[in-house]
Amino acid sequence: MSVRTEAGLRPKTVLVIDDSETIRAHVATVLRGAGYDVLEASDGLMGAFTIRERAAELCLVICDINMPRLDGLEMLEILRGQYPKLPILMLTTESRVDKVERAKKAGAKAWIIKPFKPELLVEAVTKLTALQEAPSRIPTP
Amino acid sequence: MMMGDEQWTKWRLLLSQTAIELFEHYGVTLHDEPRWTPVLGEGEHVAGSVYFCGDLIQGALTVCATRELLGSATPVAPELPIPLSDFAREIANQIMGGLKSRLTGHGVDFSYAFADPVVQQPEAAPGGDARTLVLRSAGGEVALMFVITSNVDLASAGDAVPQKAPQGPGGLILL
Repeated sequence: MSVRTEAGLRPKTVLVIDDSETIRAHVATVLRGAGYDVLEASDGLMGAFTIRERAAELCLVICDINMPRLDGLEMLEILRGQYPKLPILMLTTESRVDKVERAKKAGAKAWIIKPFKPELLVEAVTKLTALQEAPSRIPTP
Repeated sequence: MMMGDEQWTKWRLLLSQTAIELFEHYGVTLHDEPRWTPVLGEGEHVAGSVYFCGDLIQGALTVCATRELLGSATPVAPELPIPLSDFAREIANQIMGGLKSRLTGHGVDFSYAFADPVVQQPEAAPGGDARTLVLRSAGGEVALMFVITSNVDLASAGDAVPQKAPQGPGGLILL
């Protein structure tokens, strides 16, 4: 079952970007159980590609930092400003203040340090998606 | 370089606290074992290793855990073909993340890798004798082994303030 917004009956799809198959599967299991649809990407490059291709379907992105090819912070900085209505939740083992600040500047809205509790993740996703007021986004170049 | 006993005591405490805090999240209590006791719990086990290296630190971490523990720590649908090694690596990744956070306040940074057991060693990487720390749960669900060498004297850097976000594992920070 998909959760749908009151305004647009738009499916709430969450993109999970993490190089750990275990984490992606765990997050997907938790969120699907809460009624969300889930897409997965295994690194920042695939994450950026998926956001550009399917932004209209997404209500939230959950993103790791340390990943091969393109890390999560680099991905956010590449996409900075292009999807201002799309909330980003960082889910990572990192907890350094400089990285938190860098993510904030790049547009991240929340940060959870692994390991996570499923109920807290659902609560965070619910809060962040509630902040998403409109589906409009700045067109990608 | 030989890590002195006083220095190793500080390192041992830091490594132990990092791992113990993480496994508390999973409902497992780890103990700092005075010597290696290779007794593990019942059932199937899986191991994962991570190698880390920086200008001030060099070492490795091996995690051995039961399938049951890994399955309860990150429950996913049993039909998914996720290799158990991926579970063990993720646990090791979480320990290394905690260790990096704690060491930042001491000016220590390092990279780590799971793939082929080769890490590009910086020219200034410490060599010399390494120290070993083994942690194990009473029930044998998990055992960890750190092998580490470092030039950093945590004893003299004892009042360093960790540059760490004001949350532990699982905490939500709204930005």
